[in-house]
Amino acid sequence: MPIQRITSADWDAGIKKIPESFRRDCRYLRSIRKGGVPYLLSPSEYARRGDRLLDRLKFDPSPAALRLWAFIFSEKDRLFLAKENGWKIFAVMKDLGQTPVITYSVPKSLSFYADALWWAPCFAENPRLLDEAEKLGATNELCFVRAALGAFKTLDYFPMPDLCFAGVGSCCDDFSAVMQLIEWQGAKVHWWEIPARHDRTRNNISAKFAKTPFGKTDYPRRAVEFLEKEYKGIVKALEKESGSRITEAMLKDSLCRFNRIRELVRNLREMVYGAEKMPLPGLETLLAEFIGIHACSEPEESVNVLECLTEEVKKRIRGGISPLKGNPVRIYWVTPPTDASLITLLEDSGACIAGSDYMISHSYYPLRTGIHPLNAVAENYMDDLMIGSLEHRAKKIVEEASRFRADGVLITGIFGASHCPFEEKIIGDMIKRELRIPVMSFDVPYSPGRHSEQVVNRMQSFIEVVKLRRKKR
Amino acid sequence: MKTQDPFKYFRDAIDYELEFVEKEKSRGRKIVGIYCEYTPREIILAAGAIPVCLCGTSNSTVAAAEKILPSNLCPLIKSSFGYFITDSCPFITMSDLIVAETTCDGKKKMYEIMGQRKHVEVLELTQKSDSALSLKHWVDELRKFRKTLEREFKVKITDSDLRRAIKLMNRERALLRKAFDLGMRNPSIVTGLELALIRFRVAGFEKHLEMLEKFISDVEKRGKSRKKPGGPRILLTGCPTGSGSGKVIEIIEECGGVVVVQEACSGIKSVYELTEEKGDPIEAIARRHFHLPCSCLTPNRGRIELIAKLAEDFRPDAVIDLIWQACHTYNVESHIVGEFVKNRLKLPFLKVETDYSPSDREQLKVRISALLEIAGK
Repeated sequence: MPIQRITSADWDAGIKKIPESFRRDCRYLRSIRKGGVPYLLSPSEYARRGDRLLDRLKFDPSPAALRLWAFIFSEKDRLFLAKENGWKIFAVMKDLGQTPVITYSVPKSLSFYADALWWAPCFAENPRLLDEAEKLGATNELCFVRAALGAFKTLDYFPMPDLCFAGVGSCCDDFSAVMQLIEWQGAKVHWWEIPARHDRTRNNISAKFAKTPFGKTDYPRRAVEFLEKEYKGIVKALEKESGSRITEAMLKDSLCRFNRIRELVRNLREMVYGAEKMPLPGLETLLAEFIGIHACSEPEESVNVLECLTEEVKKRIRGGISPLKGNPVRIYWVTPPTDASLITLLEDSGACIAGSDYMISHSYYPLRTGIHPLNAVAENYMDDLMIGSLEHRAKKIVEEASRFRADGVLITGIFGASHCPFEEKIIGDMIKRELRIPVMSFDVPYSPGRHSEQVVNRMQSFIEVVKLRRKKR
Repeated sequence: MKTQDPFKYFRDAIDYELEFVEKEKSRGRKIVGIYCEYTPREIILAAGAIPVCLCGTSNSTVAAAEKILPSNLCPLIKSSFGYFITDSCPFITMSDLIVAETTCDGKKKMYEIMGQRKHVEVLELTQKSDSALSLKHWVDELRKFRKTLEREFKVKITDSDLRRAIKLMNRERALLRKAFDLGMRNPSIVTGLELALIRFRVAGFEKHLEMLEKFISDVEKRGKSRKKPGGPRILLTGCPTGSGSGKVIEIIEECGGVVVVQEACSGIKSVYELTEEKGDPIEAIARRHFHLPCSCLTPNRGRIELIAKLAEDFRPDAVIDLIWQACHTYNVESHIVGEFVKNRLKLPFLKVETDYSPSDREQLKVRISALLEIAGK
């Protein structure tokens, strides 16, 4: 039976047809409230609660996808509920995927990425957080992560964390600076340092190098040794804050849980992007990828959400079913778009997302077992494309875009992100040279309530070019 | 030496530096290009090489850089990169090696691109300045750098070589510090523009040191003849300035103020502390660097401490924070600095965000004049 993407209004009607048995399963924080808290609401309900952009998006029509959306958008409710019940709340910042593996070893605690608030102004179609950040010194010349500062001021999205873990070092000067302002506002911060991953060059011949087991990235051993020590500092800070000792066994438990989440995300991504007929729209795949970094403040339910979505994708691949019309051109997307509606626009223009580098690709790789968990987390971090050379990131993008048979590559820069201006041209040049496919890059503007005309024109023209080039091939 | 007038000498310093570097290069000395105060000049000098600062301070090369780099980058990076790609800086051409540090994202990526055309050695500067672990990492980087220079230049760097180089750099920094300290006099006996002249490019150059001594004695002589007080005293903080990028200092002084101290790596910040001459020389060099409160360090608590100390010593009437456009770290820190200056030091504060181009001079003049008016009350 053919399916197609639907709107939030369609979901208002469709949600009533979801069986009660399915709805009953969609609950979070069962360990706080007996039976858990139900969260399966229509996107328009979450739009009414503030995330207005949801009314302008198109969604996958499956209950599994609705569960994913509702789970993501109920995160702030979980954080407030946990805080009310005396749980510890930890804000993690900058490293995207690693610190939560450690923080979740603390019982009765939830962790969230304050950086994730960068999407909030676009989803809310409201610049309030940006305005608040501006008043506190983070102006519009900075990346949208400055919204995190506004959120620390308003506390609309999370309660004041008991402790924040701020990573500084190898990348994102803008957010390092914003984190200082967060501390200046009175948040309790534990600072830790992220070493740079140098490539194996002639200048490094005396350094001892190793290779990550899954991403196959060369790294200097001393970077991992350094990182492991920093992680020990995080453990100490957690012990001090929670008043309980964190054992190796506790860390291992957390690592195993994250490995399960990572495995699900990795497999899902491979299935979706590798399929001939795209089984899932780009937005749902993007959200699923982001669950991998911090389990959206609920590791247990994250697994359920991802397993449910995986089943749906498998079913579609078996049946050759896609929610996207015709034979869309395949676009590899580099750097996540601030404005999620651009993905809907891309799909409406006759394309699909076949591969992504949303700067979190290290978080899909498994964490090695059989070694100390902190060593495993540190080793895995060496696969982060943001902490090393741009050339390395560009090569990885080329490899993946080729593997997923991309017809074109779209790079959406983040205005004010300190790493972005350098990257777009270098990555674009390498793709053109190696893959000979069209590339387009632009900085995504903040245009609440509508698309920027320039962006629409460029996106549609780009898709047309990709279509023509595919025909010629 | 063509002139004995230190002011004229430092105005034309680049000519003397070029002559010196060309001569030394022809004698077989190695030239090392550097871009940052965190570069361990002592290790370069100990290797028998000459460290030369390559930071771009001219608007003229920005357009060339923008052919490759986007425009929303800081002018210091664009200017530096512009010199590099246009081969218009003889010091770059003469450099046998470029040494760089992982300071800000912009510079890191620039070094990566430069590395495709020239030998660029990147030192990993850790950024958590209050951490013993981070300091140890930086010490290890410097030890590695020592070995790299030994290998590349086929020399042996002994601890005695390093101690001699530390002494030389200490002498240079102490003289610069003495010169900058002249700004403490009230009324002022030296202008900010004059002090800006003495930030030269070539380190460990004996002629510079001789002329620095003369600069200090000439300025000190003025103290006795000075009759009328200067205008409002300004503490200039933030991004570094240089020859060609000193427009904010020029405007302040054109409007009647005087920059009595510059809390920037082009001012007193980089010479505020000397390197320990006892103990392990590499550790001593690393420790001094770690105390430099640049905004690339996070958290950068040392900057507020330094501003407080300078305010006490130089007694400014106002503080101006200079931010080069798209320098995120200084831009964001400006809020913290501003709150500190206004609430704790109880001084007027102005944040000036600009680039190397002269197009906003008149606008800046209006804003700075207003500040001076307030400060002069």
